[in-house]
Amino acid sequence: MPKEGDKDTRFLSKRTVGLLFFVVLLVVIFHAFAHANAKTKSSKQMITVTVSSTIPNHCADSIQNYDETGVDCGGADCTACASHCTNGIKDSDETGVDCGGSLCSACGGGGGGGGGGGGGVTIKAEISVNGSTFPNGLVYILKDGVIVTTTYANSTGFFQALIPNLNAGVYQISIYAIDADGLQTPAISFPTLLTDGTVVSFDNLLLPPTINTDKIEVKKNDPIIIFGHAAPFSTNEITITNSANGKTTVVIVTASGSGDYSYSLNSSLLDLGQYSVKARATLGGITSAYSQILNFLVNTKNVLRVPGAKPAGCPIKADLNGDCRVNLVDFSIAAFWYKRTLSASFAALEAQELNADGKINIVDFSIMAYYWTG
Amino acid sequence: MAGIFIIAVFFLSAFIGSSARASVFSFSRSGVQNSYAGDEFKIDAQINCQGASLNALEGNIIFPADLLELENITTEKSIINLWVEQPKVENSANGTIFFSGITPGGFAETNANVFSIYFKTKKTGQGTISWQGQKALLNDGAGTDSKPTANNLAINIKDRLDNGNPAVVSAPADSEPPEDFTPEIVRDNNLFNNQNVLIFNTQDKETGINHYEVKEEKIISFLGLSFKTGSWKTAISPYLLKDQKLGSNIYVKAVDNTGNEQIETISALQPVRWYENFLIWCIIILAALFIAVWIVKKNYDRKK
Repeated sequence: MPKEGDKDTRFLSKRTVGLLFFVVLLVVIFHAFAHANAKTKSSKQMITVTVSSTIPNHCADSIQNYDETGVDCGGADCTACASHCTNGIKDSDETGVDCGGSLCSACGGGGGGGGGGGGGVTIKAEISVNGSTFPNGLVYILKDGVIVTTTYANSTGFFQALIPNLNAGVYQISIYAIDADGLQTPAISFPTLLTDGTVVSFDNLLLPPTINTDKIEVKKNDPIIIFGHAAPFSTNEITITNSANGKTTVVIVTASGSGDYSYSLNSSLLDLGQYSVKARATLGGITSAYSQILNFLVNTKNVLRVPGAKPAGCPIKADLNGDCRVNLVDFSIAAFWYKRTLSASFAALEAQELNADGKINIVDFSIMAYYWTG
Repeated sequence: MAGIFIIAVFFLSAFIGSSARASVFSFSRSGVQNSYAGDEFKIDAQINCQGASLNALEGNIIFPADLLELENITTEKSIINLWVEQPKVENSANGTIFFSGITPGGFAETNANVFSIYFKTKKTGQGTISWQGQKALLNDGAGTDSKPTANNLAINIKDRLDNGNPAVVSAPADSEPPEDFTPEIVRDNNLFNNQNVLIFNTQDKETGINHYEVKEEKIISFLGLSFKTGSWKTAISPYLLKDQKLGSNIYVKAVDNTGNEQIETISALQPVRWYENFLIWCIIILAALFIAVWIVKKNYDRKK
C-alpha cells in the first residue's frame, strides 16, 4: 500500500486521469456550445432559393410588370427605382443601354473605325429590331427563348431595341407585347444567322393585336363585342369561324390613334354553335400574324367573360409552376416527367396546363413552346 | 371611340383548308457526293417547313451500321433551341439516332438545320440513311402534327481504285466557349418532391453543346487552412443537388463539341462553419487525446 509522501508511479495517475478527463470535457463542452450557436444562427438565416408559388415575386423577376415603374422597382411592393440611366437595361427612351434619349448621356461611339491591329480578335455581332404595336405596350425581346431586354412602345406605337455582343451563329429572336389590360400578343419569331461583326436589323415589324370578347356565350340575336389593342390606325381583320362547319365571317375595323379597336357583332348573322375569333393587323402594307384565338358560343343566354383563375397577362397554358411565366423552369418540370408515369398530382396539372393525355411527350413541349414567355 | 371608321364586310366562305403543304425532312450532304471505303463525310439533317410554322421536331435517323461508323453529332446552326433529348445514338448495333427538341416562338424556314452527323465509311456497299417516326409539330398551341414526309439518302461506297488519300471532314473550327448562362436553383412539388434542384441551359453557336458537368464544392476553413471537397460529375438538367442544405458552392460547366468550357457559379447559400463539420471535430478530439497521452507519458517517464 503506498504511504503518504510516496510518489504515484502508475502510468495513469489520478492527476493524469483527471487531466485527460478535463481536456476531453473541455472539447465536448466547446463543441456543444459551437453546435448550439450554429443551430441558432441557422434558424435565423434565410435560405434564398427560387420557390414555386402561385403568387409570383414580381419584384425579382427581371421584368417590369404589375405596378412597377421600372424593372423590378417602384410601385407599391418594390423598392424605389434607381435612375433608368444606370440600371444596365435599354429602357425608357434610351437609344442604347443606359444612354441616349431625353435623360441619359449620349451614346458614345467606339474609337476610330476600321480594322487593322492584331489578328485573332473576334468582332461581336448585334441584332437591331424595330416596329409597331399598341402605344405604351411593354415589348419583350427574347434570344433563344431567354428574355434579353424589354422596352416600351412610344405614344405612336413605335418600339426599337438592340441586342449587342453576339457571337456568330444562328439565333432565334422572338418578340411579344403586353397591353394595358395585361393581354399578351402571340410572339413573332425569326431565326437569324449572324457572322462576326455584322449588324442585322429587323425593321418595320408589326406585332399582332390583342383580342378579347365581352361574352363567352351570347344569346342569339344579341350583340357580342370583340375588342382589343393594335398599332394605331392599323386595319384589323377579325375572322369569326364556325367550329362545326368551318364557315368564316370577316369584319374589318380600323384602330384608333390610341390603338383601341372594337366591333359589335350582331349574332343574328350566326348559327347556333361554337365559334372561334382571331384578328390580325395591317399597317403600311405589312400584315401581322394572327392574335390569340378566343372561343365563344351562340346559344340561348348571355354569359359574360370574366377573368379566369389566372391573372391577366399570365399564360393560359403550360405554366407548370404557377409563376405567370413559361420558361426553362416549366420546361425542366416537364422534362422530369418525360417518359415517366405521372403522379396523381402532376397528372392533374398536366390535364390543366397541357394536353390532358396523361403523359409528357413532344406534344406537351410543343404547347409549351407556343406559350413561352421566357 | 372617336376616330374609328368602321367598314363592315360580311361574306361567308366555305372552309378553306391549309394552303401549306406537309413539311419535309431531308438530308443535305456537303462536299464530295461519292464515297470510298475509309472516307469521312458529313450530312446535315434538315427540315423544310413548306410554309408552316413549326415549333417541335422529333424522330429517328437510321443508318447502316455495317457500312458506316458514326464519328460525331454536332448541333451548330441548329434551328432547335431546347433539346428534350439531344441527338444521340440510341442503338449502335442497328444505327439509330433519336432526337427531340423545341424552338419557342416557332420557325418557318425552307431549309433549317436540325443537326449534323459525321460518318466514316467502313467498307464498300450500298445502303440508305433514312428517317423514321418523324414528327414536326405546328406552332399552334395544340401541338398539331403537320404529318411531315421525308426524303432519305442513298449511299454507295466504292473501292478506291486510285492511290488517293481517304477524304477527311473536320468539324468547324471553334475557339469560342459556350454562351454565358445563369443556372438556377428551384423547388417545386412536381420536381423531385420539392427538393433543391439545379436547372441550366445554354447554347454554343460554333459546334454545339456536348455535355454539362456539375460540381458541388464545400470549403471548410480551420486555423487558416482551407479544405475543399467535391468533384465534377456529368449532369443533365434538371439536376438534383446532393447538398440539400445548399452549403456548397455550385459550379456548372458547359462543354462544347470542341472541348471549350463555360463555367458558371452559384455561391453557397449557407456556408459550412468549421464547427459544423464532423471531420474537423474528429481531428480536434484525436489531437487532444494525443496531447494528453503525450503529457501523461512524459510524466510517467520522469517519475521512473
